[in-house]
Amino acid sequence: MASTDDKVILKSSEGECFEVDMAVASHLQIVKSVLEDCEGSSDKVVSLFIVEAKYVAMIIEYYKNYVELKEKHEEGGFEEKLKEFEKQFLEQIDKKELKGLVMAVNYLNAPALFDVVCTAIAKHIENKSVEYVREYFGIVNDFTAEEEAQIREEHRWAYDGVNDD
Amino acid sequence: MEGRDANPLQKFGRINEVARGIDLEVPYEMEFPILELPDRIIFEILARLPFLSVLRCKCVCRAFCGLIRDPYFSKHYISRAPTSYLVREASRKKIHFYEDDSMPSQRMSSSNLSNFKCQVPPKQVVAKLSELHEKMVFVNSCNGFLCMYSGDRPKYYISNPVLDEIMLMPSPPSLEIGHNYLNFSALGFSPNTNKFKVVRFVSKLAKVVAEVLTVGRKSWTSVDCSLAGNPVESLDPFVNGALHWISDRCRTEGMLCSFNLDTDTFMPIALPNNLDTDVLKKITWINTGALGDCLCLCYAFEGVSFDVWVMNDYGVKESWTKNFSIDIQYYCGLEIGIKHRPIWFTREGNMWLNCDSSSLVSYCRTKRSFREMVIGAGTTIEAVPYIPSFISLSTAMN
Repeated sequence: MASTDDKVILKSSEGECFEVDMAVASHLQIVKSVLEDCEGSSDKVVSLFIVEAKYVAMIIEYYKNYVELKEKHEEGGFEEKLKEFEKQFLEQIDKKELKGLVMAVNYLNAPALFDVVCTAIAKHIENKSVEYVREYFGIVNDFTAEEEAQIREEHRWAYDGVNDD
Repeated sequence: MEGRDANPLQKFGRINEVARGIDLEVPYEMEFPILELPDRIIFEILARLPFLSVLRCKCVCRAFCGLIRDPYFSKHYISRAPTSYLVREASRKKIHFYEDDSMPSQRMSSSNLSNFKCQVPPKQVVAKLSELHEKMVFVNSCNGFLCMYSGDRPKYYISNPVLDEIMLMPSPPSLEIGHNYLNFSALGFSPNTNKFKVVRFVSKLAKVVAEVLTVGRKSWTSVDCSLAGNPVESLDPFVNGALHWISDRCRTEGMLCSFNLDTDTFMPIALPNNLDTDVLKKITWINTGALGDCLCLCYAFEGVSFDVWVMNDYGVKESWTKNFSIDIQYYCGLEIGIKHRPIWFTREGNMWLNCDSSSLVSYCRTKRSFREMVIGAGTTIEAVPYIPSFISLSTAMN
């Protein structure tokens, strides 16, 4: 059994508390550095001021599975199992949440999950038309018609063969 | 306040305002207003796109265009993108760009390569470099730029093929009687000076001399490399700020050579400990190249195995480790060496070979499988490994 020493409490922006194993929390660089700064202190609560509870829960879910799979598949096969889990994990996250999650993960400085989320966002716009990308990201075209035509002319072939939106 | 909190997006909008200290006028119904995110995140998302999608994203808005044109973006993109390749068919007016796709799933069970023919991947882009002519051949590629050479009156060209740009370099000094071009040139990049350099090797009265052109300058300089043997060949010479090749001093320490592009100096590189004189005698073919970010050596040993070694810490002899080995009887009936020589390794550690004049073969190290890709439909092809860059030639030269 893990002692309470191996636990840390993460507090969301709403003040909701999550008790987490150190092995999981240490993947969040910001938590790691906060704890190092107050080493020796009995207070093991880290406030994640700008991260909502639902994102704290997602991030904990990801790293809990990451740590468990790593332990279980020490002999090999970890990467494939992690990929399987990541697929399931991403399926339950909608577009709005992806944005919230990438902000949260960036703030917490958690490299593995940051890569997963950025890759997932990129996948949504991969091989799509310019118009689709603008709509997906809510971007207003700020080029003049001439400027846009000029950029398109630079590599015309890049605009053939886009996937249906 | 409570009403607002019910909507998570509103909350995030508010947090963003606090985090970035600016007032954002984004309609709340928008699901993913990406421009609210810090540049770093947008940058990381764009860096994970296939190269064609990145090119298209330049058109999306000024912010995206600015990020993609930033040289730092190309640097980051090159450091993580999978190894793609450029192919030129005998018609020679076009260069095709292929993005490396996933490897085949079947394990190799036959010694006959014809069982492993596959479709040419559909993802390809054609750069129509108008100046391309028949006598130009590929030299190598480095950081998104392609070097080409035309031999009758020696001329070097640098191109960013995916931006359809090409530029003729100043001519190298003409050779006097008794001087010979040693048939080895390469494009490299000096990290300290942030400059590209073209290096060609000539023999002057039996002494090896490197002629160096810093891209952007008007003239070449000569560097004495008399300690070096004559260059024989190299798969993919640029690694870690230096060029590498196998010299004709086949059985000795000076076999693996390097030319540092920061200092313009020649330096021999130590071989793995096990490659002593006795072992070297049994090697029928050897070459050097890049595997990921490391220098590698590959050789055929006694006609029994094909071995690949990697120098994990550049310049540290003890860091050479064997990366993979193929039993030659499972080499799909191919002959290692001149005929079916490896031409490059991908970042993932897979190997590409040219098979006959119009096809490429890939070998997947983890699945131990070969796959043949017929590209040229009977015409001769040449191919180089390549990772695209979004920097234009004029930016790179200044």
